Amino acid sequence: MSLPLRLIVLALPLAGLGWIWSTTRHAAQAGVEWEVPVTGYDPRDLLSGHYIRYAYVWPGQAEGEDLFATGTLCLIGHAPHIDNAYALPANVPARGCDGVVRAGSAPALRSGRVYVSEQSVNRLQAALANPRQQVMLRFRLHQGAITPITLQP
Amino acid sequence: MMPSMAERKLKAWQAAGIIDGATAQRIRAYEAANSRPVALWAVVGVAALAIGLGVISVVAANWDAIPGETRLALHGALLVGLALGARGPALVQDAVVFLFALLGLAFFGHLGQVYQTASPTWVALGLWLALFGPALLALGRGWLTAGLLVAGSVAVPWFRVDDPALGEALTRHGPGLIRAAAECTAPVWLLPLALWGQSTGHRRAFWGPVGQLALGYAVGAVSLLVLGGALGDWARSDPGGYGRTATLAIALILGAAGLVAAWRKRDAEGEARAAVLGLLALATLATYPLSGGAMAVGLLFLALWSGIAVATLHAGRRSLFQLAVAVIALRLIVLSFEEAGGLLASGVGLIAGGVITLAIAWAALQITRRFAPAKGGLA
Repeated sequence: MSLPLRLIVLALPLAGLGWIWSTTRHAAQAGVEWEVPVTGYDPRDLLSGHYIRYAYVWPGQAEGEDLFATGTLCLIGHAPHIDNAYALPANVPARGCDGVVRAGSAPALRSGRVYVSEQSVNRLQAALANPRQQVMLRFRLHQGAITPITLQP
Repeated sequence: MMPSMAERKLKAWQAAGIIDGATAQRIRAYEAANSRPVALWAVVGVAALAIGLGVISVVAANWDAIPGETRLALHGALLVGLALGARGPALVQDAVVFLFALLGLAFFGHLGQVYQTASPTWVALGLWLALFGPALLALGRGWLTAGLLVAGSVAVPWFRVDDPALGEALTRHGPGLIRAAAECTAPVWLLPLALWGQSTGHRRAFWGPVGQLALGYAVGAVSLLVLGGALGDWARSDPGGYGRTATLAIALILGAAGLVAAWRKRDAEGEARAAVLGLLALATLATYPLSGGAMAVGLLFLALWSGIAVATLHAGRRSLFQLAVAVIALRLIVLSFEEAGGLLASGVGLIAGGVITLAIAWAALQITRRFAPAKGGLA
């Protein structure tokens, strides 16, 4: 194995990971912060490894209304507070929306997951299991993508 | 210090006249000069293990207390250290490159933890394979790296199969099915690559396993496909004909890989390899029209594995031949139980089923004893 080739195949993954780290870090700090109420995704099994899975409760969603058909959601409100959310039909410009979630698929608008530390996991589990307590998810919205930040009971 | 057991042996051998006094003395002198302080090394080893475990548990207990980016930086430093240490004897280099690639994969999960990002698993796996695949291919020296490379190449298309954003290939019959079939067959192309690698004469301990695992994946996947043919009539649930095109795509890719394998190597093992790929392509083609008929698909499975058994005989591979015979015997046993489904409700049917199972097992044993190539044949 020649030295230049060895250097290239070992430097490529390091440089690639460095680039991915930097873009991920940049994306995680960009965008506007919003808050949305959530419930536990599966009451029998809230935890999935170190992650808590949750289901979004988008404000303004009428009973039986399918908000998720288009995979795109229009948020109305003043960040971080959402007053109302409604499904945005495909190919319709997002006029009048204060934020637009482009999840790409319906499941991504229904549920998500967030990494939780071991110190807070018991508190969050109890809060999500309690129907009278509302748990808020603070997330960052950047170019239509949701990046969860924290769960707050 | 001379261990007392060796000393006793020396005295016994001397008394029995096997060695003379001068030889015994030379052995004592050699052992005294070359003896290792085993007890001391054991203590050092235990201490090192305790320190290592202690460091791991301190880090694990305070994982959440360490700022995320500090953790990522430490992870990155570990990767740089492993990249610098990826040299030395074959075993060491293989283990270091394996760890390097594995920790690289863990880095994606770690990034997700720290920045709460979520992307489809196949995207992370695909990026990992693109970044670390070249290192595994260029620096792999043995089974560990070969296994990781093949596992990664297989995992990427399989995690892509049912990504909703790509058209839910398996649940909806659409063009996504053809894409998924072609992609899931693609890892078979590691076999021609491995043959080229072996022909260069370097790193045979790496290229050999890569080729074997790629072929093993093809055999396993097509066997499952044929078994799946018994579950229902594929044509009925495939009005758009996407399933037909998908099986055709799989057969074409396997057949093409078989042609390259036949062209690359011209010894018995190369012929066997090419023949197996050809058989897999034919079995894939035949599964679609035969699907739904349990007996027909069962016989197709037996024909496929009989062909594989003949190929392993041709290549002189003893253990693979025994495996093929065992698979055939198992399928025969299952087939006999399936066909005698109604009989099993009665005592006589159960007795007959047991006798048939014993007969098949006995026949399989006789066949492997009589025909299996000798141990240490062509490797």
